[in-house]
Amino acid sequence: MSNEMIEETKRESREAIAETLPRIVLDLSAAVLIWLFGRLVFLPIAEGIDFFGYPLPEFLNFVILVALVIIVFKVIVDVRRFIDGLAGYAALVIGADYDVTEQEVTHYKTALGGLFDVIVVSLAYILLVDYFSGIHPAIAGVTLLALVIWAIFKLWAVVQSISGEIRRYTSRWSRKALEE
Amino acid sequence: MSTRSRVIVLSTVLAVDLLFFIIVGQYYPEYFTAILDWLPYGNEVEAAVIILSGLLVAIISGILLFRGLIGRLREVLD
Repeated sequence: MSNEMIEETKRESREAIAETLPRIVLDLSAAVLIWLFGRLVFLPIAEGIDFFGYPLPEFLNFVILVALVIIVFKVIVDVRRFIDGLAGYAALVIGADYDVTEQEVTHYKTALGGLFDVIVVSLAYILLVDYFSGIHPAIAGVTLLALVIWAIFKLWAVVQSISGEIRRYTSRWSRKALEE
Repeated sequence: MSTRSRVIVLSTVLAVDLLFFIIVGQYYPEYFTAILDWLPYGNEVEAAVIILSGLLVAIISGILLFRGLIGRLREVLD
């Protein structure tokens, strides 16, 4: 990577982090707020009320779930951008300065992105599980099953990219050791 | 409308909405029933529509409030 490219990657990374981090924090706060007033204020009042023959709590669960899913998707998009920025910065800080390849940045992006995706989606599941169960308990079970299978594949990709980096560092170190 | 006044208006709307449903809906349900009796349609549908509208107002004002806060934060940082 040339000096200009490294400086540009650093600048882009800083901008991405500064732009997305406040948005992620505030969107998550909005999601938690909606979850809280749904669970503590509106669902207790709606108990025992029917809306055109359909139980109102299930209807409210669905409305809250849709709002939370929209926010969570927005957060995931922002987290992806944040991770891209963080990975670029991490590759430049952890890797030897001015000796960073684009492949290294891609590996860091895959590793950090995968880890954060699994963490964010698991937290989102914890946030949504009550509302899934409120509509039908089977929805929560099927979603958890899909989540576990997806997380295994995602973590596998993370391990692959980290092992790629370890392989690269090990071969460089062994080459140096043999030369000495 | 400036970001600051939008944040103030939205937080007031959210606070009034939530306080109404906490106080009247949960702590003084007799007032809630009185409001429903005062309205001309069947109590069950009215209650559902009021609660649903309250929830929608809370969700929309909550989301807009946090978007306003992001805008305000950007203004402060700039």
